[in-house]
Amino acid sequence: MSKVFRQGLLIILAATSPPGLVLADTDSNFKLSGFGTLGYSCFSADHADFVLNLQPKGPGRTDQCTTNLDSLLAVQVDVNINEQLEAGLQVTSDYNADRSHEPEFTMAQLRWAVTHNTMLRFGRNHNPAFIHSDTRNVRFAMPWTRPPLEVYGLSPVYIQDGIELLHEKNIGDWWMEMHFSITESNFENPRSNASGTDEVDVVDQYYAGLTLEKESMLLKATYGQGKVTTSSPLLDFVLASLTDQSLISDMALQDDMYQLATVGLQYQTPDWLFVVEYGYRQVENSFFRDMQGAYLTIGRHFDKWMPYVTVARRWTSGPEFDNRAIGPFENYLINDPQDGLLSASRFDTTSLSAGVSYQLFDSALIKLQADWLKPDDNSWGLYTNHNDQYNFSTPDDELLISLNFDFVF
Amino acid sequence: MTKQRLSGTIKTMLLAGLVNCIFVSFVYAASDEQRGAIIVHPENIANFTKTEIRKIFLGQLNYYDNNIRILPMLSFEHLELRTRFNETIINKSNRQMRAYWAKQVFTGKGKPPAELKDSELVENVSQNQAAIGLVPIDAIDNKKVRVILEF
Repeated sequence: MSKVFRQGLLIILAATSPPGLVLADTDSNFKLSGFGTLGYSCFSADHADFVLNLQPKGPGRTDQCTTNLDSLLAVQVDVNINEQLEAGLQVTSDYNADRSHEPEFTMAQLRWAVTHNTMLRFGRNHNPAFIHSDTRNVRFAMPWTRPPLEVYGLSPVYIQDGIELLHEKNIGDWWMEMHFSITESNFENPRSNASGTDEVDVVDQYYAGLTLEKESMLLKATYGQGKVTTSSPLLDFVLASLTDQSLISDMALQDDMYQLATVGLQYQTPDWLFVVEYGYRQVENSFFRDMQGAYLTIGRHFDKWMPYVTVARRWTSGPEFDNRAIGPFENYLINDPQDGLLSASRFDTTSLSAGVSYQLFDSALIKLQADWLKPDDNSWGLYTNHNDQYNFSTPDDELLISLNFDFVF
Repeated sequence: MTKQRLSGTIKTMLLAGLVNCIFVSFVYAASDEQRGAIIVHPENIANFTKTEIRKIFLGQLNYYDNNIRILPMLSFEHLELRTRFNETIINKSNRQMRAYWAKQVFTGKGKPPAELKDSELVENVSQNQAAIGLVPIDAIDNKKVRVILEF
């Protein structure tokens, strides 16, 4: 308890320090900054956990309330080497797949300004798929307690290593940024209902993105693809039970191409905020079926207050069975309407979120958000660690309540 | 009847007083509003539109036509002036600006304008042809700097 108190005190001290002390000094060759969230969330579900990113457990079945869902602390160092070269290092401590809070490098890059409008970045960076993807941990900079999982959970990759090209251009009143990247990723994915993790490799990952901004309007569209490889003891066990080699090969995730297409629109004035984003993800030849996600957020500023509502939806599409599953055992594994690999790969869900944020200081916000979550019938929802009492055929609606303190320094 | 008239008169007076108070406070507020200006070095001949100034202070327009890097700077001494600049020129609230720069900084894409005292800012702009700054009009020495936008 005293550790939590000390951490909280440090966070509050950081957030209440005079704003702009660090950011203002643009002539300095060395800059230290950071961000974080101190969050507390409670989830009404008894038969599954709500998690974010690659967390192994969350509020719900395991612990009804937890600080692990949103709490994090990040420190960033930027160094100007010369007119054209800059280096940046960001270290983040949050709840990891291996159940630790061990800090990890979430950004480690060398930035080379090739021309006035073009920059090459080498090293580690965040995936840029959606409007807030590359700052998904900087909760201070987003309207919600966390990005809507229905959409932001579509991206199989959060951090990537490689080369990025950024090119910006002014065309009349519009500002445009083009983004191209060639990267790869390697991360640990937690096993549901188990303590271990499975390694995921993504190679040959290409992203292209376009951001347009004019006055209150921001438009962003991206397309990405990559080859995913992973295995887990459970999946290996299931696949070993099949006899059709082509079916085994297709169900496994071995060098399988994923594609993600996104489009987003944000309209923001000093008073109003409208954001809508949509994403479509396909993983070829695997038990993961096609997914789509969309959300709409509307917020209204009243001085230091901003109430907001978000409605979000996740859909699954694609075949629910495979004709090659001909034997009784294969039929059971692949074509069974509930337990089969394909038909059970269904996470359709709808959420309605209402929240309010309050600007406590120049660099700190308090957010209170309530999420009403309703998985479709025959869906796992966007949960993990389901127990056998989870009602897959008609899941209950659940309530997630979060109180967060977001800050930058 | 007299009481009714008296009551009506009092109501009218109260209403008139209320309207007057609102009008006076509005006029007072308007006249009390601090005027701001965007200033550059006297030999800097660049003239920017409101949209270009917005882009400069958002880090979206970073170079003059002669390829010299633009150095935007703000006065941190006047929150109300800054708020009005953000809302009328940038079209963002202070909070949205803070969030915008947090996104830029934590993706390694940009740094916010330098923040200085009025006197330091005017001095900086008067000595640096690349500088462009936001200050209250009453802090300006017209011999040292050139005003390109008043608001």
